[in-house]
Amino acid sequence: MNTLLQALVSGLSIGSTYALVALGFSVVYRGSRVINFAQGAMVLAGAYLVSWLALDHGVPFIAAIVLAIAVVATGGMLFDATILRRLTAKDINSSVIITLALSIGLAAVIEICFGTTQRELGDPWGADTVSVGAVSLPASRVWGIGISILVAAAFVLLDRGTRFGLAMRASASDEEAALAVGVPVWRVRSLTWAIAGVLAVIGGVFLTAYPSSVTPTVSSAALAAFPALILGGLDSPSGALLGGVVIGIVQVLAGTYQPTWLGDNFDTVAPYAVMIVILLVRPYGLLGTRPAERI
Amino acid sequence: MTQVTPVRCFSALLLVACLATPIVMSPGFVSVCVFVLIAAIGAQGVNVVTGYAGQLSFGHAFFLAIGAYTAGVLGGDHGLSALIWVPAAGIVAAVIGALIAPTAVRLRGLYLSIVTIALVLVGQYLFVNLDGLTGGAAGRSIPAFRIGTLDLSPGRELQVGPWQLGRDQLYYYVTLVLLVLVCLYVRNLGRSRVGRAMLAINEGELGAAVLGVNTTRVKVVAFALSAFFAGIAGALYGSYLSYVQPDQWSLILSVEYVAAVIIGGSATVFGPVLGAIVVFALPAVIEKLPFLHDTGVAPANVAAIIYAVVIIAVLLKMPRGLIGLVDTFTRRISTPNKLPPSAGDGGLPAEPPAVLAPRLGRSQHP
Amino acid sequence: MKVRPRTFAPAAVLGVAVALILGACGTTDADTTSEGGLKGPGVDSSAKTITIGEISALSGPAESVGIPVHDGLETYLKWFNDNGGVDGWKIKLDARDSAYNPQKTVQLFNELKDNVTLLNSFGTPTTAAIRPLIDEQKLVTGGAGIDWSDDPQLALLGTPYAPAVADLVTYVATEKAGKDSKYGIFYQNDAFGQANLAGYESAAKTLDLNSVSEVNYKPGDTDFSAQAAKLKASGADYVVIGAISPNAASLIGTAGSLGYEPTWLFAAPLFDPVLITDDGTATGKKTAVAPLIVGHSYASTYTTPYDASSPAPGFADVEAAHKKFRPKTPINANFTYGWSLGKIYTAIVEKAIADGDLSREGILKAKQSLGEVDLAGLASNPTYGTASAEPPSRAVDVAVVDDTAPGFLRVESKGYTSDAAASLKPSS
Repeated sequence: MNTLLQALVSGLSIGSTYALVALGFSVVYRGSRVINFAQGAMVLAGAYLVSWLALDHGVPFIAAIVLAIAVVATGGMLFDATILRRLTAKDINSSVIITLALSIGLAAVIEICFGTTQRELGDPWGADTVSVGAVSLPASRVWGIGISILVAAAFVLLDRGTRFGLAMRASASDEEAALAVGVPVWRVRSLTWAIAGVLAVIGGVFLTAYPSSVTPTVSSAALAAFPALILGGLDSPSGALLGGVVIGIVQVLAGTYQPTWLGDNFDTVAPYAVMIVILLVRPYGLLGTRPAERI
Repeated sequence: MTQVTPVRCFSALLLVACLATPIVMSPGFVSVCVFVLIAAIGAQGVNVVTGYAGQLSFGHAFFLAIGAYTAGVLGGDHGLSALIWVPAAGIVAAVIGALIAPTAVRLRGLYLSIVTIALVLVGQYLFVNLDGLTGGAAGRSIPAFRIGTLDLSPGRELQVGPWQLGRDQLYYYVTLVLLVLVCLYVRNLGRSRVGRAMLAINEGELGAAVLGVNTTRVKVVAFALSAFFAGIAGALYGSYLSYVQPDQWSLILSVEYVAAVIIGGSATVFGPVLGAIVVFALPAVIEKLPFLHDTGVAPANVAAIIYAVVIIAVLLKMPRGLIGLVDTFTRRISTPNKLPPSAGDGGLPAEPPAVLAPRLGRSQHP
Repeated sequence: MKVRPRTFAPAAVLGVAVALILGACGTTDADTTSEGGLKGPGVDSSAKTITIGEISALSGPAESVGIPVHDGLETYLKWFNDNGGVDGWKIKLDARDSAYNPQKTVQLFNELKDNVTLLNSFGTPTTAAIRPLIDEQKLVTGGAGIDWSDDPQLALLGTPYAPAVADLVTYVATEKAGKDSKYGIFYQNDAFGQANLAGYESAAKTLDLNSVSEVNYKPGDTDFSAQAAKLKASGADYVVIGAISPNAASLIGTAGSLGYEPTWLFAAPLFDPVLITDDGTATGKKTAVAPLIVGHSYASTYTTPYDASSPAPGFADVEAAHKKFRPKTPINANFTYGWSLGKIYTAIVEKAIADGDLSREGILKAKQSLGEVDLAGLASNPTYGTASAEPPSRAVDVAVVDDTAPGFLRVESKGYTSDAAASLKPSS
């Protein structure tokens, strides 16, 4: 019983970071109908920047995060404004490939600047642990859960309760119509990329805080946000959050209870297996909406 | 009526250069060429499913692996000749592709792309665990190309006239021949009913369906063909490398193949070949640049940045890829007497309008 | 809906016909023998220079081990040339970067093979990719991070992974642990990790140990909460680490946060000083996992740790060369390893020159008749003979992880060997 409880709690902590990354995907998708394949690279960039500022330059942790957010968010907005918008063909495949190209280029630049040896994030929680009964979590992961809840709440508030949220939903629904009624579509779009940048950096911080470390493979951990996104529904931010948590729990449960006939390391593949099943059974996810198809 | 035109002269020179390369250039250079030729065969596979049929699939690494492991099992464990395992590698991959495709193609656009990512990751998991076939995480050896007594194992040579051809040179010629056959097939595909059906789906699936195209069947055929070429390329790759491991068949490998087709020019015959040269030979070229050695910068990273930039440039400015550039250039030099088109003039434009060039897939709602 | 293109069929028929005709031509074995004498690939008699090729991981995931090994080797050869070489012959190092990529390694090998006398190769998967080519060339190859096999050309240094783990586990089980102790292993699921597993299982079987948990992870994984939870649930008191240091640190940290602190066992070369301080030196900042490792772990090693305050005798030359050629690189276990490789290569070359044969056969014969090579106390002396399945050594030095000791390892037992290690065979 204790093992199950521990697994659920660990899954929740991993899942909350996946939720943040998946939310980043979802936000950009709603704003520009583009799946930002470079989200993983942005997560990586965020983590490396925070680590570099905090460890190599002694910048206080919070300040390092704020600076990293500024850099990544601006970078994302610039990319959208200068390159993504130039894509004249409203072509799903082209946008996927362009964001993939960004991902490849960015990952290569990061590797050139920082090399491939692991480094610590420089977070203040260190080896502190929080225990409740038989269940314990590293302090960083507890903070991760807390911050994710806060961010999610803030986002839902933004989405449902502000004019900006309304503008986002309008331009996601039909860009031309939104333009026609005076929604500043381009500005909204830029801001979604900025939000994605914020989410990427925060997600990156919690993915690499102790006991993990900052290595190039973090961007593939971000790949696991895809199943979360699909599970929740591409166009639903709350779906992305829910999906993230579910996928995290699935992954840790698979790791803990994996039967031997499934071979080794099924837990890394479990999220994708779940995703394949979802795509066959309920392609638009738990909370997504089926789009009306236009000829 | 055979005319001596600059383009024809250049093509003839190119042909001679291709045939003479293994004899004239160093083994290291020839080795890179072999990898490029093999990649070109694989890239034609991506060309069929993504270039012609417009389905963006990242599953190529999975089918390359199937081909390599088929070659290993048939050629290595059972000692069969290459005449059997080369086509078999393609066929096994194609069959698996045809089995997976119907379920995959029910999904559109983005969802299809994401599911193919899952395919590669699940594939890697399977390859690590099916260690009887794949050697598990440690990997396995794949046998050399052998037909009868023509054996391309390490250390073997063939005397052809005054020249002694070693392993690299022999692989070069074998893969060159296979690439030519594949390119011929793709050229004919583009002109056939199936090919035109694929292009129609690329332009707009709903429209194609309305025109009477059986979209599911055509898409499955595209996947199966793509897997066929991937299987052959994978088998040759494994054979030349002589040893393969599961972590080679990664998402990054699939992305490189897609990049090759985009950069070279999708839905063309020579585009993927050109793209394969750019993407797969680039790291070797960069390594030769002198100023890199002391900075400790990995050529692979520089290559990645370069081809990321090229992809963006191609998608924004040259939708027909590098082949489109070449095409424009050859038209300009082979019709020197035409006046350059000016606005409002009745003159023919120098290149067909971009709207007719196949795009990567219209605005398909996911 | 069949495609019946007109030009395809005849082309295909032509292709098959050509293939069948070619099949009738036979390839023959390339002639790799040469006349002997002071001639051979990589030998420049006029300039009296011999070239050693190196394909190493100078970038990419293994660079933290590959670069210091390369530095050590290069420094040794520079010092060697500086001191007159052997009989006036100097040695040149042609180093290339494989980025730990097997395909790249094959390409580089093809570029180097005709111009080198000896090869230094780094890494298990990379060397595996060129093994058939090395065998065909009969090129004597040494290197780091290569798992053992029964190729007569391989000049390995140090104890391979499996016997090293077997020795370490045996030492701990017989000298330190109680009768009821439980054992586990955490390993990377690839060739190198599985070699560790083989050693662990051999020790467990030979000594009838209570092995309660064997967990692995896929290379590239970064989260080990499931593995840590499993190890904790099994109650293992001693856990072997068959993982590279970033993953080891993550596992140990995750386990610590679950309140699980077993004794950790690191087989060489997996104990990396970077686990204890952030830059691996005694003056660096302590890492967060250091308290979980120091005083709590054993490691096996075969190079002698370098103590700047009172170095072992063999380090005199190392220090001199280091100061002259590479003062900025720290002298760590991998640097010492690279230096030792250099000593072995020059010993082989010296013997071959003395025997008057620098061809491939000559070099191979020289290596096989070398006997014991004296590494001046920098590492256990390897022995090279004709018995090809015998690794240079099955023994290790067992150390306690101690943050006051040089290299953070305080050696407790030198040259320890076990029956579990003796019964192991190479994996291929």
